[in-house]
Amino acid sequence: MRLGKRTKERIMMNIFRALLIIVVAVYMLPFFWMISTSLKPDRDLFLMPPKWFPIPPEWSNYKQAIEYFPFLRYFINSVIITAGSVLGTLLVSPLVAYGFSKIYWPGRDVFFYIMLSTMMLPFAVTMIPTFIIFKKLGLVNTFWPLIIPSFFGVPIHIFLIRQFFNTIPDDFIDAARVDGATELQIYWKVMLPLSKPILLLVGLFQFIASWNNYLGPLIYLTDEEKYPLALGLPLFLTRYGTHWNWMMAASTLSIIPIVVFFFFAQSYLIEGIKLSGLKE
Amino acid sequence: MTRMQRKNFRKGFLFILPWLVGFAIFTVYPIVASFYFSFTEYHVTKPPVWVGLENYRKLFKDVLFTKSLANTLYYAAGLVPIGLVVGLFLALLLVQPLKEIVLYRGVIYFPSIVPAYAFATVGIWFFHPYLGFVNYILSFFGIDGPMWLSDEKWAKFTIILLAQWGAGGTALIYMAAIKDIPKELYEAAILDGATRWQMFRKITLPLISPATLYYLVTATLAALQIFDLPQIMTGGGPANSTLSYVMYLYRHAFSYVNMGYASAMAWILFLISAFFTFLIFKTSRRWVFYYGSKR
Amino acid sequence: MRKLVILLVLISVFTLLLAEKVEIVFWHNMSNPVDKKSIEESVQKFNETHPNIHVKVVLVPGSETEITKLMTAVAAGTGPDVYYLDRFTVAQRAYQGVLECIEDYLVQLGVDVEALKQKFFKFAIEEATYNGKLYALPWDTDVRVLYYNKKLFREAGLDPDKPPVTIEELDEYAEKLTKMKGNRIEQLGFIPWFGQGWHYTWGWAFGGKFYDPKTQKLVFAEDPKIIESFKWQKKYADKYGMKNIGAFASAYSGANLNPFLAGKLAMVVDGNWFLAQIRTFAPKDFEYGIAPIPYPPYGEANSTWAGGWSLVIPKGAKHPKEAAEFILYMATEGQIKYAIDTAHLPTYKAGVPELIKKDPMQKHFAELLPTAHCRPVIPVGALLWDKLTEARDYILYGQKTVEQALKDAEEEVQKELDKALGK
Repeated sequence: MRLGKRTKERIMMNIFRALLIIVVAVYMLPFFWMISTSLKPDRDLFLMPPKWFPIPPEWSNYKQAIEYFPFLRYFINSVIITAGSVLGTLLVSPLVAYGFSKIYWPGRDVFFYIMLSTMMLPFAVTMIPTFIIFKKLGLVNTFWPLIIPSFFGVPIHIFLIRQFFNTIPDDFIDAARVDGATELQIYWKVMLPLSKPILLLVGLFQFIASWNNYLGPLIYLTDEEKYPLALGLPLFLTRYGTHWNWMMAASTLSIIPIVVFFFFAQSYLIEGIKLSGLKE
Repeated sequence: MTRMQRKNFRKGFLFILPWLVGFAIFTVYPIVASFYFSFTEYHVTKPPVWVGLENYRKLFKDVLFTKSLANTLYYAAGLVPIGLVVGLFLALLLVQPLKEIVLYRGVIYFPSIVPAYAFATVGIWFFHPYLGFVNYILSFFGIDGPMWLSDEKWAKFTIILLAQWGAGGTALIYMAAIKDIPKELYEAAILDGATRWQMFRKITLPLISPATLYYLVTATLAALQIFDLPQIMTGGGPANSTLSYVMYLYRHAFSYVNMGYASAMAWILFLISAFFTFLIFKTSRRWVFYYGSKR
Repeated sequence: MRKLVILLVLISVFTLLLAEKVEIVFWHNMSNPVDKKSIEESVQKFNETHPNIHVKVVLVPGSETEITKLMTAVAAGTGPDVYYLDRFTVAQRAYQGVLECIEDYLVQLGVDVEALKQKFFKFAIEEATYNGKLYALPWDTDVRVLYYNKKLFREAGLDPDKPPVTIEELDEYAEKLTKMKGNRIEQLGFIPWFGQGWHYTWGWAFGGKFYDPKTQKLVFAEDPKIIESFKWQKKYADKYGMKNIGAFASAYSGANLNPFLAGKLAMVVDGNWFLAQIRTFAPKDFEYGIAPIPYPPYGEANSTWAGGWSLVIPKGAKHPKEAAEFILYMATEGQIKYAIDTAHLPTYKAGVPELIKKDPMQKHFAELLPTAHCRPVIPVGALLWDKLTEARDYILYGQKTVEQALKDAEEEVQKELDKALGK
């Protein structure tokens, strides 16, 4: 018996579905573990083998978690720092990427490789000189060292956006140029609208990098009132016994904004650039 | 330069100017400084003392330098290709037109946002030789699973596997790239009777090659600088089998405060990184394809 | 009118006082709520009793050797006035020029330094000294002991009130307390290197010596007792297999994995702070005992070693003299309060009776303090630690012989030590 095309397609889809469910189960584990640990009583933390389902759940861990350090204060600081650096990234990185992609100018590739090479030195050896620059600018113990760099373009994001800009047809831009549009107009009216998904992705990556950044705030901030959440979470780790349950509760609360951001951004990610009609 | 070129130069230069200004203010000095420090003995609190090539000479006699470098190359050799396959595989699954696909998409990215500590603990249980999930599954197939993190021969590989929980980022990039491919190309291919595999080879793969170039370069650089995962999972053990280059560098920079030595290490890593990046770009002319780009 | 004058005078006096007030910044990382509160209360009391000084406390996240923030700040001249430093690294940091010499400032304050030193335990003062001068005042300390699970002792037919005293007994008990299923371990009696069973722990229990301060030479690779202590550890690795043990109790574990708390490991050497963890995290019916670290016939009875923290003045502090005054207060009165509040062992002798009054269990630990060892006071202490740990790994995994591993480590560290000592 020969299967019809439709049936074949349906079987294929179900195979994909099964694969996805397995994959999703594996990828859920860290998240599940975090929530599960956050609901365990103290005395269940070290069981071997571990308990995967905390029954009954110990909700009071969440109370402990937000009282361990000024959770709300740190949360607000995280929001300010992250919002600033995401804004800077989205304003500037695509702009620079455009200069590296759709305008063909002598020396462009040299600058591009110089930019890539700045990602090749480990932070550990450039950290102290960078710190001294910010000190000379009088910006130590402010949020600025954590935000300003993004307003000058982030190399890794510039690179990613450049790759996507490069796939937009030249014909399209040349047509706009012939019509007398300035480069800035082309950038704003043609490139950006066509690149929404990748810009959102870059925004998401920067959001997470900034939200979870530990080393930056650690060296630049010297007032507890200015700490972000990433500096609050390690406070649970003490040599005299770490309350993993409280720490995981705080972690769970701290990633809620990222989850929200992700689901918001996702509806854009699904569709992709609707270029099909444009490219003949 | 022709008039056209000069005009383009002005335009292009203006666009990259923000980055160039930031580079001049925040990046040039630290890079130059670390290069200078690599030829000095520098304990941070006292002024650096010029020692010429001494740090570099010492490095080549340092057993842990060689070991951590070898470990790091192993990491890179595993992380880059495996990460590519996993990321692309996830992306291909996640662009399938299933009703509930939105749910799956969110989940794939979850491990990337979970704080490293949560990630590490579940990793330890997942690969626990006796009580862990992986060996439990393997036992169904009659395989006596390895000791993973506690075996110095398997530890690095375990870390490479664990890192795949972070493949969500690559998957998202590939998804965006796949979604950009004009549907007409597939429709035409289907009319010509192409199989799924043929379409993947002839359409998808070439058209996502710009994203692949990005992935290869950034993943290689990231792998060469791997730090967090081995630091949290093993601290470099057992018997230094998971000690990465940057972990060792960090130890010199801050624990022993030999900033000069650490800087020399950093510059060797810089050269290695530059070499691999050069290789990737050099070959990319043959396999990267910018659809619709004339030049 | 007169009232107004008085008010004006008062205001100006007050302003003057305020203007003269010196602010010193104190960075510490005791994030445990109980510890943190005790510190804050002491600081508050100091601020009240010293109207010319105001101490600002900043809690800095990070663990023992995490001094990235300090080094960066000191390099840029934005460091604090007082810092909380792992005591065994004092000599090293002083050599690297990270610390101000606190003794100079104590002398300026008119403190009788010799008399002050007598009030602390000897090992703690030793660790705080570099080139014959104090670079820190000691803060709390810790000791290592043997913890054992009484329930598992009973199950194995052992007397739960008779913990092992000698290495021979320890080996014998460990054997009885181990349950195998095939070649898999179900329950393990003892792992020498787990918890706080470091190279130093066993080296000293076996009566060995790591460093000779007179000749300024490392001597562990030639010490037969230290060689023996590693050979003894290796026997465990051979007997059960390193991989099996590693699976059971990874020597490195940043996670919530502790086979002793889970009742799968019968005996463990750990620090006095572990007591608090047992009380919080072990199952309700968990029965445990505490005993001195076992030793061989030629070894040292009741041997232990002490670590702990200290208070230092980093280079470039704006107000080193006031910082010294604050440190003096904290190390003495502050420490007594800290011992009572937190049950951490004090290095300030007057704190001990107060601590025991509060928590009688602490007697086990406090009694060990007068004879406790401390790690060699040398400018390359962190390197020595790392190299000894590395040597132990090489030995246990069979990559090097005991003699070879120790010799390699000794040569490498000695070279750096000679350089640091200007030889």
